[in-house]
Amino acid sequence: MAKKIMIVDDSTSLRNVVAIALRGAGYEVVEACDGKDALAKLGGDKIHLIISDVNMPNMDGISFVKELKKNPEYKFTPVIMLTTEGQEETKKEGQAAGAKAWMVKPFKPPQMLEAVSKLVMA
Amino acid sequence: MGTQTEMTVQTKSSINNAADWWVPLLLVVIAGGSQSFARSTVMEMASVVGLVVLSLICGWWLARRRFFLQQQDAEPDEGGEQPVVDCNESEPPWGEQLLRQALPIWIRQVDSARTQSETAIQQLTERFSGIVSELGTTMAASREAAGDLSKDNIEAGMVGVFSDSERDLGGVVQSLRNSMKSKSDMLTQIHALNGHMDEMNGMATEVAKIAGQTNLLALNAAIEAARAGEAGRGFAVVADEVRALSNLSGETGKRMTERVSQVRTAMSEAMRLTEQSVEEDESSFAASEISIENVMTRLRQVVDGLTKSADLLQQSGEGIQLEIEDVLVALQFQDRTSQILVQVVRTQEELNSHLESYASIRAAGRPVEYSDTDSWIQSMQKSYTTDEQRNNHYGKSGGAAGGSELTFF
Repeated sequence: MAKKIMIVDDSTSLRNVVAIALRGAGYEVVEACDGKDALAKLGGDKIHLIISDVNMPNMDGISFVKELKKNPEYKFTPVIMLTTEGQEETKKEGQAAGAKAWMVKPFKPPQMLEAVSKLVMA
Repeated sequence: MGTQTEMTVQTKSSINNAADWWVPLLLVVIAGGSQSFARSTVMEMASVVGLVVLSLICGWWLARRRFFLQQQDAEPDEGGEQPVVDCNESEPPWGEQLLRQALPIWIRQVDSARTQSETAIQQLTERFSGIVSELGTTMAASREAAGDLSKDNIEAGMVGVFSDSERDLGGVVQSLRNSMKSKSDMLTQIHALNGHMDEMNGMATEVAKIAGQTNLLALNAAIEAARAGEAGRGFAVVADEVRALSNLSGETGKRMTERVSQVRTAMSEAMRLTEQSVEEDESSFAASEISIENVMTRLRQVVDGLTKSADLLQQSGEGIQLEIEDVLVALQFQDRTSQILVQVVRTQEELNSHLESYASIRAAGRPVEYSDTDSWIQSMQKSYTTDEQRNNHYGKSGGAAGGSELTFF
């Protein structure tokens, strides 16, 4: 059965790009347009990994990860932050919130898939 | 654009300068004129002097005001740390007026450009996604139709159908070959039977010969019985019976020879027909074998061609898919430009809201306290989300980031 991955990003085009790469590698994809939308879409089938943007309307990525980690069901779900932000301070915030990896856009699909594969298997 | 504004300012400034000096000069001219026309009385002289003095005071005041304004233009907000209180102007400065009108327009223009580019890129990515998906479906169908050449999937597709057909036709050829061998074996058996028939013919001749000799013996016996007279009467009866039997045996032998001859003829005919049939079968089998081989060769060529073209299609499809994926990756620039433009629009909106509040304060007749420019710039700096924005802020070179920097925590 295919592993399920959630993409959280306010940019539809970027969600499309990530989804194409993931579907091509055999993953099932769930999309959410911001942190609030993502939290609302949790609770169905098991999500094996989450890829989230940082700067988003309604609820940013760091706040979303903090909220996610409060939920016992998703406490150990790995999160990759995929963002234009590359500053160390913000990366540390992401790490403190509970993210497992930080990737700067524009990303290269093979590298992203490698990171996804590593974290899904872990 | 800047040159045009400069020219407007310069024209305005020269008009203002001319006004500064034309007012007292006009008053002097009026004073001089009135003196010559009124034939100068003491009172008139006093009024002229008064006018000249008044004009000089006006000129001095206007020149001083002009100088003050120029000084203000030349050194705007030197420190910028303390709020600047403007309590002299009832009208907003020229730049502020222009900004209040221009900013909402710029905001709309930038936002419109951002929205258009975002919509276009979104449509592009959706169309490219569609192409990738359709390409995947087509390639899977082609793979299924052509058949995977891998050993695990040899049964599937065209290659599988070809292999099955080749195996089935091979079975037909083998069964034909078996049938041919059976016929050939049968022919050998018939040849053997023919040999037996020769033997039978010899035996029948032998029977006829024995019957003849027996007949001769019986005749001799009858003669001897007649010579013996009454005593040989019984023997003569036996000799007659033996002769009758020998005649019967001779006829039987003759019939046997005839029958054997008939059977031989029939067998020879059967053998001839069988040999003819075997020959026909052999030539038909050889022709069938050649035809089957030709059909299979042509089919193999077609299947090979189709497999090669399917393979090529597969490779090209994969190449196109990779190309499109690269294009999609390149389209990620939209996310960065969108973030930069959103930040510019937000800053402009904030500036516009400040200018509106200054205008309201000014309209209420209260002194305006301008915001501190340093803290304004710092706040703008904090709202950056990309390295390009920070580089641009400091005027450093550096376009779009290379990206794909991955850090595991």
